[in-house]
Amino acid sequence: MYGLINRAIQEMVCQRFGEETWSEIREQAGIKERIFLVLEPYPDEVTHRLFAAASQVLRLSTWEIMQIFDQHWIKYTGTAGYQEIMAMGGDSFKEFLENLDDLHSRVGIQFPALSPPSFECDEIDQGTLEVHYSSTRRGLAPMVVGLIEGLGEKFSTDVEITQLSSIDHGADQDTFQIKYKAN
Amino acid sequence: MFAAQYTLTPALLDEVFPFHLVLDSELAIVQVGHALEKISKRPILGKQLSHEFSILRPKTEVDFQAITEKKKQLFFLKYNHSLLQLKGQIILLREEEAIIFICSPWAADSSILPKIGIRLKDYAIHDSMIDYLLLQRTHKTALEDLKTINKELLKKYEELGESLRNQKLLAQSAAEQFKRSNTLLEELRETQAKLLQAEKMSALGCLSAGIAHEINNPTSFLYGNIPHAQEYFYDLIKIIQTYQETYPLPNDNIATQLKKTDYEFIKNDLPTLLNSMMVGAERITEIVKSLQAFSRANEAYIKPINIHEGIDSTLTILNSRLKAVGNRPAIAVLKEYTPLPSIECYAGPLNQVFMNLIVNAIDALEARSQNQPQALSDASNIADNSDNPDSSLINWEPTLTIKTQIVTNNWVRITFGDNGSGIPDDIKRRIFEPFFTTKSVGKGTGLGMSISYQIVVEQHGGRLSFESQLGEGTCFVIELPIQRAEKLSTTSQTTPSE
Repeated sequence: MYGLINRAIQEMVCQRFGEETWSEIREQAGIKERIFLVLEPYPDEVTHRLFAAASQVLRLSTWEIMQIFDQHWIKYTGTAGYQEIMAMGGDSFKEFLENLDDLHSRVGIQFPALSPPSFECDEIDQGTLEVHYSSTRRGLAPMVVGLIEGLGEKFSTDVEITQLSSIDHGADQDTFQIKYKAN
Repeated sequence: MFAAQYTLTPALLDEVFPFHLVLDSELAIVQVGHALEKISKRPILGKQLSHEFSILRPKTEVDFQAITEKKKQLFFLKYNHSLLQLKGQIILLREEEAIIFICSPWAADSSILPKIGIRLKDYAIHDSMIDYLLLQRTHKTALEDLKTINKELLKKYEELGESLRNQKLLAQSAAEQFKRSNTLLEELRETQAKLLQAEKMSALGCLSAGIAHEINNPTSFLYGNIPHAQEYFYDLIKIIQTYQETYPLPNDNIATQLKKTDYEFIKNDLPTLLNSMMVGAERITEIVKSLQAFSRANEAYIKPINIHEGIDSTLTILNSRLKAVGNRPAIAVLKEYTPLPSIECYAGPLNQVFMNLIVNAIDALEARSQNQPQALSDASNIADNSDNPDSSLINWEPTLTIKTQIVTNNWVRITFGDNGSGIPDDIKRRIFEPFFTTKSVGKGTGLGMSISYQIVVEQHGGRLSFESQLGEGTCFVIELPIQRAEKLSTTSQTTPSE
């Protein structure tokens, strides 16, 4: 994964838990880098080790950490220079979610080593969407929940997420049902 | 031949190029893409091109003919009512006498686009403008990353510089401490050695004083009674002579006794014997006086002293070393004394200087004699050999010359010259260094000359110098103020060189 993700994890920990906690997590994860280069591809293992170490140090489950991270991720990308792209992504929760897959496709052109995930979005009825998430990486489904919650927060929309199927339970992709209501 | 068979309907054209414009031959806007219509601030359909847009590039007249002539060039149009700029190309529709402007919103700064109201969905899917915006964003991110790293590196560099400066200061401090410790150690060693030397000199002084005191009384008995013994002897001889004149013929018993005791020999020898005793007693008295003079080393205060007396007492103590030893003849001491006033000084330390200089002179004379044993022992034989190239050695007599003189009103000069082995040039500059010695281990402390220098220069405000020629001899010169400088503070103090 690109250093952008690891940098966002670092920023999240530093903002919420302080620099010392980050140092502890970095040490626990056995990471020597003090700065992650945003556009440098790092092994996925680095990100997984950071999540695992954060889970141990912060005494939270990996699921919880990933959710917290993805909520932060929406804010991070909205302020770390990608705000224009985010702003152009859509004017509403639904529009943005429908553009999400396209956005990832375009990001994949810029970052050839990214192998971005896929987010197919189907409108079931007014106020209900189904997002089909698939990725070459395993174990990151919890991030989708955080991501959708983060988007809901960004567009002032209440969201209720239910995972309908999981790749961990034999399905060929993770499917999330999202009930949303703009405030 | 161009093989294309299909064309686009206006609706499809609008889908593929949502920002397009169609102009008629009068340059009126006759068709507008739906996305462009959405983001324009007011309706533009039916308006003149020049009312709504300015052509930034290429430079052209705003008329149909002029524009179509530039159809091979890239066109930039600026919307007159917002920051919107359009980038694209014109296509001439000859039959319809119209121009289609196929374009997309353009922004060098991507932050402008959201402000204009453009969304991702406004662009056609094939449009690479979004990819360009992402690329632009990526480029900016990379630059910002570099700035962050550069800032971090600069911070580290400053920290490193600070650390290096601190390290340098610490190293300097450590070096100074080390140097100071070495100096202190050296001073301690020197002081310790000087203390030891002072103790030795003090002990020697005490011993000399004790011996002088102990010998002085019995010597006084001897010295004082010998004249009486002589007087009594002459009285007795006179009585015996009177008896002999009165009784010229002694009886047998007396005659036997006179013969047995060899009266005539005793009568002639006893005066000589008593004279010898007198000379011996006088010599003992002289030695005792010398010891007493030398023992003034214990006196730690300044007083006027007779320099000659100090030198002589030192010579007396060293008398045994002046005598002939082995191949070395006796050392001749030539005194060229000029009458001197009393000199204000520390008697003991100054005697110590005299002793050091005289002992060194004796050592130098011995060294020269040891280097020439054959020449000296065979002097008589060599004297007969006129071919001997170093005949000067035959006539060499170890000599110590001591001169005293007044050099200015307030200064005296004392010179100790010898015709010994001399000092090699390479060690001359080290003569007054503490612990420097040319003598074998155990024979010299290497402190004699440094202590002498300290006594003469630092303690007495004088000067100590020397001249030496290797193989010919050495001359040490002491120059001392007759009166101490502090007493002359009201008068001008002159030095011998002035």
